[in-house]
Amino acid sequence: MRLIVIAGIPGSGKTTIVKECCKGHDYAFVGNNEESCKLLEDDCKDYDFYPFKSPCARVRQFKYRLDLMEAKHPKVLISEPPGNCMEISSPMLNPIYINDRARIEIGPLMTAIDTNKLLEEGLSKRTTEGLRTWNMVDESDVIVLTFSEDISDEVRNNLRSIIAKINPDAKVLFFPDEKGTITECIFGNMGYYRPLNN
Amino acid sequence: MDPRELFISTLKMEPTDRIPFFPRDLTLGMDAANIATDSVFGREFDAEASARSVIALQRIMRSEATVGTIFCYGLECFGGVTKYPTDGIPYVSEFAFADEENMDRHDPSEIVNGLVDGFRRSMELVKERIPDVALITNVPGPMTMAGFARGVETLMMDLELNRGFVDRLLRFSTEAISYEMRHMSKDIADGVFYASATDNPDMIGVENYIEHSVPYVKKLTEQVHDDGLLAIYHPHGVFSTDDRSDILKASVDTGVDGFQFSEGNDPEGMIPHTHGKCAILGGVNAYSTLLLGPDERIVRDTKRYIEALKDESYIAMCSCSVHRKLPLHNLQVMADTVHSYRRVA
Repeated sequence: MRLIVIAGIPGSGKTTIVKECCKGHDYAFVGNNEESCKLLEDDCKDYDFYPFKSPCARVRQFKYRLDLMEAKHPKVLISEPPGNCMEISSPMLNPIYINDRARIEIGPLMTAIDTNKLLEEGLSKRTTEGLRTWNMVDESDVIVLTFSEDISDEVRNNLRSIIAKINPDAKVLFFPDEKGTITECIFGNMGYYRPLNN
Repeated sequence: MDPRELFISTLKMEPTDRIPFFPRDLTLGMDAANIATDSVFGREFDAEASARSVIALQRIMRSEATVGTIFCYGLECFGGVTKYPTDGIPYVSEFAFADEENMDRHDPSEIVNGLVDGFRRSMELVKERIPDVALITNVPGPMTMAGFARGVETLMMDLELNRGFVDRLLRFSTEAISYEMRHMSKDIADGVFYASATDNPDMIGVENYIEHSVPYVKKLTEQVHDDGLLAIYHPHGVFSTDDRSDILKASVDTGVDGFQFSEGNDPEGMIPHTHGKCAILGGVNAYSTLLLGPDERIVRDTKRYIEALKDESYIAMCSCSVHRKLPLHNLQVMADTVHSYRRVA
């Protein structure tokens, strides 16, 4: 089974990416709330969601849902992080990498960021929203900048260089324009890299 | 200065030439002693096996402080259910107060039961066998105990829809913590650690944090100080940013002697609010750097925290507690890096 985590603070477009980029593929989905799952119920093979628990429980909670889903044999499992989606996600994936990588192929850790919010608020460790986004950018293999239809090429290049200063390993993609490349990241061969090497 | 004195001096913000290391070892000791989880948490809590586990880990890490017992947050005393996987980490599987009426059938003092007695006995054995290591009683923080009792998801709903019950639940929880920490600490512990993952402004919101967590932490801390002990507070969530400086200040103003930041915080952002007011604890992420290694990354990240906090009263810890299956070698690399540091006079 291939495992993909799509992180991002609430409202960043995680579910929209999955809906648009995974249509027609064989995948199961675990969301962090039932409403997100309902939006995908016609498209995915199976779905489940994480009950809300303490942050310390996230690692065990993630593994538990993963095991339940794996028993249903989806080719690809796409998951949001459990919890409130404001924390980094690699702490849940790393134990899978250490203990289960012979049977679970971990794909790139992807993070969705609302482009307009990023332009408004920037990336600063001095604000709570900025620090959260900073930490997510720093750990990600792929950063998907959502709601970016009206963003000019010049601004796109600026955003790429801002992100590269924090995380030079990240692949930066704009959604929906680069939908095909995002699909390739999810279902292709790209692997989990940045959290192992940062 | 022995390890215990180094730890206590740092927590009291006295100058020291070294940085103490406190891994907050809740279950990892069982890996060090090769003991199964369900044999420590058997029909009765096996205090001897627990103490052997704690001491085995301390001997490898040469840590300056320990919680003194293999620990879990189970609340069977109030009707909850905890699962103990053979070589895994105990977890709460059924919540004692999922039915809110069940709370009225219990008294907070019932927490002092066989399990907590077992923790106490393990701490006594550890104190006897390694008296030069500081002993820190681990208890949940107020909202965190409430989450274990009620279930976090339900508690979040209660905060919106059932605030009268939340008030009663928090009073009950804080009273239970008070009984638990007094029973475990009396005459043996040096301090109390409030493990407070759900006392978390990112989860419950800033207003609920100020209204519900802060006053109860203050109340517990007054009691801890009355008992001649030191208090360490470890809430989760972001505290290091400018827009969170008020809640960091409110947290420090509870009178705690140490504040442990969780993952996702920038330590430098906290110094202006903790400097001269309390010790600062925290450090390398347990589930990334420490879990994965390699050694060079562990050394690099540990040194990064030391460099950022070397002028503070700093106690090196991981981002949270350490549990089974964390590679012992990796934690030892962190411990050795901390212990090799000397402050220049």
